[in-house]
Amino acid sequence: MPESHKTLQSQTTGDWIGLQIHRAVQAIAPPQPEGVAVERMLTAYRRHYRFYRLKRVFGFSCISGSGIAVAITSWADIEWAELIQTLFEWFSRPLALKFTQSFAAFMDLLG
Amino acid sequence: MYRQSDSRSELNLHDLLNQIGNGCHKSAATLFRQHHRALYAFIRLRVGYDEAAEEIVNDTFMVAFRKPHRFNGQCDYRTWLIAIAKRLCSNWLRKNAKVRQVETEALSDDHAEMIPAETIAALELLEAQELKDAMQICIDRLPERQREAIYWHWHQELKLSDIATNMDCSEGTIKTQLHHARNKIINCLRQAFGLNTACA
Repeated sequence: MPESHKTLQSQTTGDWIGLQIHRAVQAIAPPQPEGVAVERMLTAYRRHYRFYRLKRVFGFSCISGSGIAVAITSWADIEWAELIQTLFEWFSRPLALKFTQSFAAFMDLLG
Repeated sequence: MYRQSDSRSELNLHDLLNQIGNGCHKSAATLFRQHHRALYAFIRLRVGYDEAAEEIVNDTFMVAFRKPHRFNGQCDYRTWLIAIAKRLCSNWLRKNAKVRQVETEALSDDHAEMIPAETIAALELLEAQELKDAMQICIDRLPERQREAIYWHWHQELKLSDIATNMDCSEGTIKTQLHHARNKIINCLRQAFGLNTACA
């Protein structure tokens, strides 16, 4: 206990008030018990995550749905005859060329 | 100060954040338990109300857990959480400007260093709870920057250089803030308990 009627030095005052501030701020604690606070936060987190997953599933569904719709529309719009003809040309032309070359070689062989 | 000092704890934090991103509520609870008390103290000092502080603590964690990958590891995880909390507190204070009208201007820090011995003796005689309550009120009446300096210095027990980094100012400024805060609190206590302000 400091002596009565004696002004304390600033260092002592600073130490005393520093200690009191330290005690006061260290004593600041949530009014609710930790378990309640954790449960409260987890409820919000679970709700967020459920919503986030729903949003993701809905997003993917929308994207997949649009993809399928586009595919169906494209399927209906295809000019099938033209497509088959084009494909046939792609494959038949090299074959015909190959056959012509082989036939010419055979004729040369015969003289 | 809470630091992810070794690589093991950094790895753990990294794992926890990944798991939180995948919806693991156990990891969320672990991180919450590690930081919520310190975060609560920071927010409580900032806004001055228990209920609001609890609400903002929750909001802070939800912001952090929504995008856990945003933490890049360049600072403490707690410092990162406090940066989020600061922003949320500012929003709350802006919205509730009328509620939070604390008379900080009434506090002076004159002559506080020349505190008479009997003043401290009288304060020592007060009941611990009474003194603690008065201290809390006096701290709440300090300007925002001084409250933040108090948090880093007396709650997190950081070095002045670390406080200066966190508060984005010089060490000298922090020393001044703490000095003024101490003096204002002494004068506030005198006012609160009607003690003599005259110097011997």
